[in-house]
Amino acid sequence: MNRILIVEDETTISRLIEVSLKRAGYDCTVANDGVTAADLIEANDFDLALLDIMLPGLDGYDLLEYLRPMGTPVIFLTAKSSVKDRVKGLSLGADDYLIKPFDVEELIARVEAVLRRTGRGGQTLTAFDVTLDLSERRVTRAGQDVDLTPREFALLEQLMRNRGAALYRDVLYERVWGGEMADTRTLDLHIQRLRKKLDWHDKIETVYRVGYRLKKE
Amino acid sequence: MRFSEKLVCTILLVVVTFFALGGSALLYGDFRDRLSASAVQEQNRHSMVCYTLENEILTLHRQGEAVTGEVLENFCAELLEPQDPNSVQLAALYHTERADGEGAVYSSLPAVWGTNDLPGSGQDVVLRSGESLWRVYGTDLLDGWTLYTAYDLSEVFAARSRSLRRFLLLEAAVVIGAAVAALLFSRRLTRPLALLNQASRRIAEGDYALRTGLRTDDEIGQLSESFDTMAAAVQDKVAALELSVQQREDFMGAFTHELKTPMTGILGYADLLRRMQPDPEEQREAAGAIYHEAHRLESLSVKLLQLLHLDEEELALEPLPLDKAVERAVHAARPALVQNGGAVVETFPTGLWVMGDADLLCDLVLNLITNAAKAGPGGTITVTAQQAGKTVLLRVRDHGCGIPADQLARVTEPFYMVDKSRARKQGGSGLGLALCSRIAQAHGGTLPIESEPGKGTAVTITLQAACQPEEEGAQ
Amino acid sequence: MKLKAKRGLLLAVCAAAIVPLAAIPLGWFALTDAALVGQRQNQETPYTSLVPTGNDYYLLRQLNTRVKLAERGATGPLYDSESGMEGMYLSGATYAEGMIYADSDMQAYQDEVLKTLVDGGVLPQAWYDQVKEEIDYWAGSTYYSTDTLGFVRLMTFVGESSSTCLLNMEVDSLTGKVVALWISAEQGHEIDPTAALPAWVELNELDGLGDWSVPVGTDYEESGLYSENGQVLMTCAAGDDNYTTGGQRRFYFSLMLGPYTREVSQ
Repeated sequence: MNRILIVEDETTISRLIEVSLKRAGYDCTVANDGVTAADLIEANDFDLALLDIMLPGLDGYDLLEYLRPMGTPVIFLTAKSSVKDRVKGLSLGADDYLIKPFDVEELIARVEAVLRRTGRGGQTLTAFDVTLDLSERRVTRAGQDVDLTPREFALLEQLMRNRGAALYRDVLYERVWGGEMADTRTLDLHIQRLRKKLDWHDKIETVYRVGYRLKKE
Repeated sequence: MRFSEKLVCTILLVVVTFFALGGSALLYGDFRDRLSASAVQEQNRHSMVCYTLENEILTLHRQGEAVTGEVLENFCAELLEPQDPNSVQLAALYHTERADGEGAVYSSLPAVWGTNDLPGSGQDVVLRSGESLWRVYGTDLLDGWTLYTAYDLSEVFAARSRSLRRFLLLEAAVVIGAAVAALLFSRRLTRPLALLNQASRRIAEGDYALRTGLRTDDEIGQLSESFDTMAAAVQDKVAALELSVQQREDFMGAFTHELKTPMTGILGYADLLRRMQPDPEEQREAAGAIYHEAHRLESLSVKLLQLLHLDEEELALEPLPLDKAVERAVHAARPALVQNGGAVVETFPTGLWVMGDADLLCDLVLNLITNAAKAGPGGTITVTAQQAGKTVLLRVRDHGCGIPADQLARVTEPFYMVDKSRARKQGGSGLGLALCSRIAQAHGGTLPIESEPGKGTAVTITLQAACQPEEEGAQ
Repeated sequence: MKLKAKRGLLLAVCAAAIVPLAAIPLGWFALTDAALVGQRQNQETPYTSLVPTGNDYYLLRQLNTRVKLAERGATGPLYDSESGMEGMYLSGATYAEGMIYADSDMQAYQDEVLKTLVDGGVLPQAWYDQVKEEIDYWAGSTYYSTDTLGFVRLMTFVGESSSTCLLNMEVDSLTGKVVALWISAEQGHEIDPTAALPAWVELNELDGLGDWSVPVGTDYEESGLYSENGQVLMTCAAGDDNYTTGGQRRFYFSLMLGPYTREVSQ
């Protein structure tokens, strides 16, 4: 599991990120000010840092100085959207830049992309005995390859990324197929196939009037 | 062409013109004098010859001898024949009956002078013979004889030539001297202009702090003084512009941050709730976050609108009783007081009247009381007022946490928060004191803040005192 | 570059302007000289000619002296008097008995003088011819006398021992100028005094006096010329000879030159 440091003075946002990333299978540490963050950086080795720029104490740029020697990739989170600020952040060595307000999905995608690019993982998702390799688009169950269609793969990825949460049917359909859900049959059919192929009959739960949920371990 | 060169050229032309004209007049006057002086002598000599000849004619008559051409020719030859070749006198004797060029009984005049050139009786004329000029006098004598004598003017003209040569040398010296003096002078005169030029160029290149510093008591000095004043004005303006740009950038940055942070929270949690059905606990957290963040946005927008409104419109101030405004504010602040551990507000009615806008003044006091309540939950807040001359000082004092001295100056900046996380929890937007400061300004006053960390803060509002209206007083 | 060239040009123009301006005096003098040469102007103190008097002319001085001496009746040798040296003057005889008979040389002289008068335009040819004819006809005898001033009087009478004078002339012996002429003839001729008198002035070389004019308001208005400077009168007249005795009518021609003081009427 990748360790991610979240530095954000707005607790609402830091909580949001923490919850989302944890659900996506990352180990998260939160710091609400620059000084705490610096201490954490010195004491731990993180795979990625999400830095807010405007921070009490040390700001994001200062923290970047701490992280650079350790080679930790950095994604800036900021409300500043001017080109000047973006260029400053990137030129100082940030790996990516995310402007508030951001979509949580996008944040996770960026985190994965940066981790992949820097070779620090992010390629695989694991739940029970099933491993999903995002880069090779391969799924193995107890070391055995499982043959999945692209839709099934995408559906499994959605479930694995949101473990423990009941996902609404229409949102799932929207994420996997795109667009408005025409009928519930297609989604239900794919869930049935997944349960069968992975032998996850009890793992993927049907939540009444809501949708489906992958059980937490 | 440089200005100094123009100046030199002009001065030289003027000097040469006037010097030459003046010199000409002087030399000419001198020449005329010499000519006149010479004329007097010539006249005397001419008269002498005339007299001598007439005398001779009369003598001949007296002696009863015939006055013939030969006799007179011989006489003239004796009397007038030049003794040496450099003689300055020439003469001719004519008889009226023997005119037409052949009438000359005696003549030593140059052949180039015809009888037509010669002057009439009692006249004189200047004639040229070769290089030299001669003045010829004519006089009719007795018995129809006419005598002409001519006198060389070479000496007069030579003297004039000498004077002229001296004058031209002097003129050359004067021109050269004037050129050198004018050059030095104009350089010195135009040096401030060059400096001014240089300074303005450097200022144009961005060196706004540069001043000429020239202090002379002429127009150039005044110009450079005006120039310095202008440069100072430009510098101030540029600094003000830069400051204003900086302030706006700061404001925009802070504003974006304040706006986008709650929006990120709202969007993120809303998305979460939309996608899935998390644990009830998580659900509550998400809903709570959305509620708080939206609340924050709301209070931000209210204050922001108020601030914009204040910037836009000129306030119409009217006399109003201070006590009433304070009472209203305290009433409105009740929920905030309750929320902050039941803080208590002490007011002291004064009966003072001030110039102000009732709603804004109420808002101002409300904001200050709320701030005070947040600073010291459960504490006592005192609101006092006193008149000092034409101003009324309204003071709101608390015994809360106080503001660090180094941040005291910045607390009235929009979005500035001393303790951000605590302010967030209390639903602060960072605009409260900025708004208070603007309201105080709109009332023509200031908002001095005194504070000591850990002991409390006192905010003073200076307001204009007003007379109590008659009818109100009567009721 | 262009600016620099322009600046150089302006400086050159300035320098070029200075030279002619500096040469203003030369131009000034050239102009004034041109104006000076050939310009006639009146002399500031013009010479005034000497004013001649009678005494400046030999002939007139002789006449004046004769008059002065004759008035005093000066005769005898030179002697000292209170008014200086008095000269002795012997006048020539005016009657035949006191005169010397003129020989042929003297007669030729007389004729020569008359001819001079005729040639000078003073004596009309007609009168000359008349005189010559009568002299030949009457075979008139000629006498002469001289005085101590050198005047010669030549008289020709009608015939021998006749008192009727045909021709009477007075001549200055040094210059040969006639100072008086009297002709009495049996026949008269026209004369023109306005032409004859100036001619006689010139013949006597008295034109230097310069102010010969008709003496208006005197008896000589028609027959005389008067010079104020010389205080001298010249007359030329002709007419009936009332003075001649004898019944026969005679005509006269007369020339007179003598001192004369015109009474100023005012």
